[in-house]
Amino acid sequence: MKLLRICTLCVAVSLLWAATASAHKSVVGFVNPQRIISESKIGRIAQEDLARLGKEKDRRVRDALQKVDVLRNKLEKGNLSVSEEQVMEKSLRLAARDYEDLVKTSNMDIQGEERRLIQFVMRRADSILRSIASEMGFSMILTDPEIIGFVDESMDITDRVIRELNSMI
Amino acid sequence: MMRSLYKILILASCLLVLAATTAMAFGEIRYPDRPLNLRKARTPKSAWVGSLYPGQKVKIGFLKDGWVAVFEPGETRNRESAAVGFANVKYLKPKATRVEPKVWGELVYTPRKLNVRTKPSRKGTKVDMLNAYQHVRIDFPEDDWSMVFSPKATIRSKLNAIGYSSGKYFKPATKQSLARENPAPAAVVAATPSGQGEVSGSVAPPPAPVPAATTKPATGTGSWGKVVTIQRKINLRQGRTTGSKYVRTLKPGEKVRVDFLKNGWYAVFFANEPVRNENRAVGYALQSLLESEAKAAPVAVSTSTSQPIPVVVPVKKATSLAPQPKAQPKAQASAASMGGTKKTMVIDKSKFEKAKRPDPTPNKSVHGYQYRLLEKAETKKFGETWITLKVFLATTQLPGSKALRDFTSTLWKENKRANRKLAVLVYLPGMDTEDLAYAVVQFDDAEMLELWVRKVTLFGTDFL
Repeated sequence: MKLLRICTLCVAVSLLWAATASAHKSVVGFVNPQRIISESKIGRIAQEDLARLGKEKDRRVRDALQKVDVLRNKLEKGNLSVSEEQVMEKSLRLAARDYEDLVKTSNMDIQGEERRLIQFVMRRADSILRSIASEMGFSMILTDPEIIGFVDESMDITDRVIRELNSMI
Repeated sequence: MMRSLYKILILASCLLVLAATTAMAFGEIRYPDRPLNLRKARTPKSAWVGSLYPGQKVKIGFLKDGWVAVFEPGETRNRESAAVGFANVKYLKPKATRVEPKVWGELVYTPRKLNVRTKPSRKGTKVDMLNAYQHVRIDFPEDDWSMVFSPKATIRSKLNAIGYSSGKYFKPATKQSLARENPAPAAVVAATPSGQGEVSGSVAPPPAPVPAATTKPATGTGSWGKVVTIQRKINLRQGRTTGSKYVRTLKPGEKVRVDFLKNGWYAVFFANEPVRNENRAVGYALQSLLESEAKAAPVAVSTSTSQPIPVVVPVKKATSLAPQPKAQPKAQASAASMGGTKKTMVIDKSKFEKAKRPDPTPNKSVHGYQYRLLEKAETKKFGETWITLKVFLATTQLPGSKALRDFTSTLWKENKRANRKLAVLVYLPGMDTEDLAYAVVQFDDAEMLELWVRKVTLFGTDFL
């Protein structure tokens, strides 16, 4: 019975030691996606793309607003017949609705495009992350700076990822 | 007596050459004053065979009933059968009044020997055979076949084609493929048997050796190029010419790394540059100057294959637009500094290249662009029904916004429906057609609404 207890203790100690040893091998890395977007060449190109889309949407919104203004001015002049005025009012209502819809959809489009562009850049960074992880023996790479309390500088591979991404252009 | 005979002979030869030249110089040069269709015969009802852009230089001849035969400007065969089409002479002016050049077809090459046939099928008679790496222009795609033209052909006409070849064997021309077709003179001399003249026959020439220095960036490693210690002042330039902008002067004793030898110029890098990428070069310097440096100081030159290059510690910017994490580590975060030993790591980018799919084969042509409609779908977005066309555009040059507008407008006209909006998504060679498109052009049923391009999608392609 005593022998059984000693054996159990030994096994437990061995297991604990093995777990501790394996825990030491797990290395966690960190990469900051926000910095990749704002500091890498590809990230900056993506920002320019988004700005270009913003300008195009602005142009459309301005055009729609101008259409509303033209109709409103015509109505305000007051030199229309009753039937013409009714047609014009209807057109104005439609134009105003189109304008509001356009503003709403443009904002949603821009938000969606921003998400897509970030995902596009991060997919390119992902292949580099995997290579670095396997070389440096990382079991895990964290990407959310909000949940990190402290990161040792040697674990932050953001600069390395940016450099590798830049070298691919 | 003999001298007089020689004089007469020389004079007769000169006259003969003059007469032959005059005979060859038939017809006259004209320029269309508008986009002009070419017909198979001298009537507007005959089949369309091609078109000329306004201001295109052509040779005309054989005027009959107000119609002329149109030839390539350099055509010497003075016969109607050599014409590339017929056009009404009133639109062909002696001087170019309006010039709007239009690129047509695509310059391609075949990596293997390829038959050219009279018909777009294997049943067509063989009229020619293209050698490996021979460049041709293709246009007028029909199913999997395209018409093959000489790369020097200027007129887009079916009558100007050599014949048909299967389009699936063609690849877009690249700098490398053009270099292979026109190997360096030294390589030609080496391939020719000494003193026996040129080798004739239909055997394809062996591919020329790949130049030692290519402009394609290699993987990030410290063992590349060579390190040179400068012995005297050398000016660095922004390009590979002495006329390009001055960058800086290398001082005696300074160590630099050189690579990407091309046209007698080296790209010059910092000695500790870890990544072999021409974009990271400080400037360019003449090979002769740098190699005389290397000869003068043989000890200073090393190919640096065994010597590890210290990793460059990046200098972090003082200001950043991006919000920083709470526990943002200090600037000198270098992954290579782990464990206290500096070591350059190599990322094997070839692994990622395998993931790329081959480009689709174009099967249609519009505005001189070859393309393939990959997908046509109807989707709902913000309560509106959208027709989406996914198009692969086979081009070697990045299309401008005007070209995109023209190209997509034609597709829109073919596919538009009442009360439906339509979006054309354009993909270029080298892009993943399952990912984001390069250009997005949106239309309603009356007009184009917006056009924008995503340059970021060119990452990994030859366009960026």
